[in-house]
Amino acid sequence: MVKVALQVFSKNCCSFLSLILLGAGFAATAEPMTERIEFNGFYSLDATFSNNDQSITGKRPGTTIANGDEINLKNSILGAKVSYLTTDTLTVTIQGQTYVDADDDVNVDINWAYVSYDLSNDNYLRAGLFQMPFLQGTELRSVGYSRLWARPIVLDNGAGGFNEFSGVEYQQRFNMDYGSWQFQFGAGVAEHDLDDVDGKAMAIVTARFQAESYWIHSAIAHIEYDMTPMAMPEMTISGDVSMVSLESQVVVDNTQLNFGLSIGDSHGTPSDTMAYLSLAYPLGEFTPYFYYAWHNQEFNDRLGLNDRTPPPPGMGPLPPPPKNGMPPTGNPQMRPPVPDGAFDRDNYALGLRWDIKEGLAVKAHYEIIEQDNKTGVAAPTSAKRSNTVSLSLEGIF
Amino acid sequence: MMKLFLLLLFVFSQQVYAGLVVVVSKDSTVDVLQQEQVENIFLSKTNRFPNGDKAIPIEIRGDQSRIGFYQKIADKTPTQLSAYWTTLVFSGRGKPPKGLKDLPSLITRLEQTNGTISYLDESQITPNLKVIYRFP
Repeated sequence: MVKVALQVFSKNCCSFLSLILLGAGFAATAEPMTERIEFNGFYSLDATFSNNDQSITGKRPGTTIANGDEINLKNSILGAKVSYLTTDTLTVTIQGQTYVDADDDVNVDINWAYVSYDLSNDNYLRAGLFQMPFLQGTELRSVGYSRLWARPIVLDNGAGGFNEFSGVEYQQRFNMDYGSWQFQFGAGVAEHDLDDVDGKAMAIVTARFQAESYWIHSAIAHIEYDMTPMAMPEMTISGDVSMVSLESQVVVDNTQLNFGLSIGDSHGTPSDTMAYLSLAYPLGEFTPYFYYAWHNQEFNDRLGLNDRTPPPPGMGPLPPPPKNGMPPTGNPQMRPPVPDGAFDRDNYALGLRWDIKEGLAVKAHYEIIEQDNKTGVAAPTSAKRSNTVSLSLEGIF
Repeated sequence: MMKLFLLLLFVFSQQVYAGLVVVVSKDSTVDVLQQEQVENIFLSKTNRFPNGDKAIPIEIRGDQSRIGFYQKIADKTPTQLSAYWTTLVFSGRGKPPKGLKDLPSLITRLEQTNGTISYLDESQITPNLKVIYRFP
């Protein structure tokens, strides 16, 4: 019920915009209200050039495709957050974003909407809609200014495609002499990027340790779901995915090292393994960086669907490229069988972040994307290697 | 001559920050804090004083002393601090200290609102405030 209500609300962009305007109006006029309302925003204006129709890691939901040999602005985004402190312990927060989607339509959606209760002693209870705290990049994917790089390092499907959930979350912090711990327990209903996958019960536990020169974040999650295989639209099957992640940032002698690893073992949807390593060396307001990221998707047919229903004989060519990296639905006779095999991607990036002033940065980013697609899944390009260049202006307000 | 000027500038800048202290209302139950506790409160790692009372950090919006303060307590530059707050604010895990428009507003708030804590130059302290941390 809560999930349905949130989904309906998230579709109602007018309400969101009204809320922002209302918040801004209060902020401008009513002094007592300004004490209780907080308004924050973020933006990215991103121009990306690619030599192929390449799927790139986007700041918005779904897959972002940079069309070959043209300047793409689709990785640009504008977001806002409004918090209202109803009492000293109860806060209502809504955060949303607007962007141009894969169909060239302007889209507005809510990606955070929750009530937070301060239980005292650094315990918090939150209920509502959240981004999955699996990796830093999955939670803050749309907020470009928050990260060093011009693009999120975590690939499109983030936490196995389950990038948000509706439910409850409990946070506990402990501050020690040598650093601080933060634990997070979340449970509810997960939301998948694809309409064909219907998330069900999920649970996630995260632990984060922050010291002066480093932080470590780890998460473990389990999600159950129903899915309708592309090849068998009349059938609904149940699956589940177990995921673990480890991510860290260490600063040694001004050199910043980031690395991360995530593994998702899924029955039904593809299993994922992702790893990255980044090195950066700040020189005043300029920070040159390099990263390497590897992503593997295993489309193994672990439910045996291909054996149960072989593809129709004489099946035609594969359908057009999908929006979300999975075969689209359509004419059943045109559908491929359930994909099988591995889809590997290697990303090598070299970039520069220039912090012009507090809250405003420019990033220049060159990236080589190599892909090895053994699955038969339609991809925007069949090229093994693409070169992309991005220039982005990112800020907060 | 230039070296002498730079030396004087350095000495002067050190003297400016040497006077920065952390203060609360004189009626507060908190009498002293350690640097880690100041850092935890101002970086939103906790919203409680060690005795369990609610802590509400406040500061003057855009004030120059802010740079020196965060450099001292957390070794963070303004841009590093800005990136830090971005990750907390947009994941709902914390928020920066409330920014007030000027010194009189800050002092009034400190004197009248329980739990508020801020930093000032020692010369700006009023009789209704007390120092709970001095930088070494």
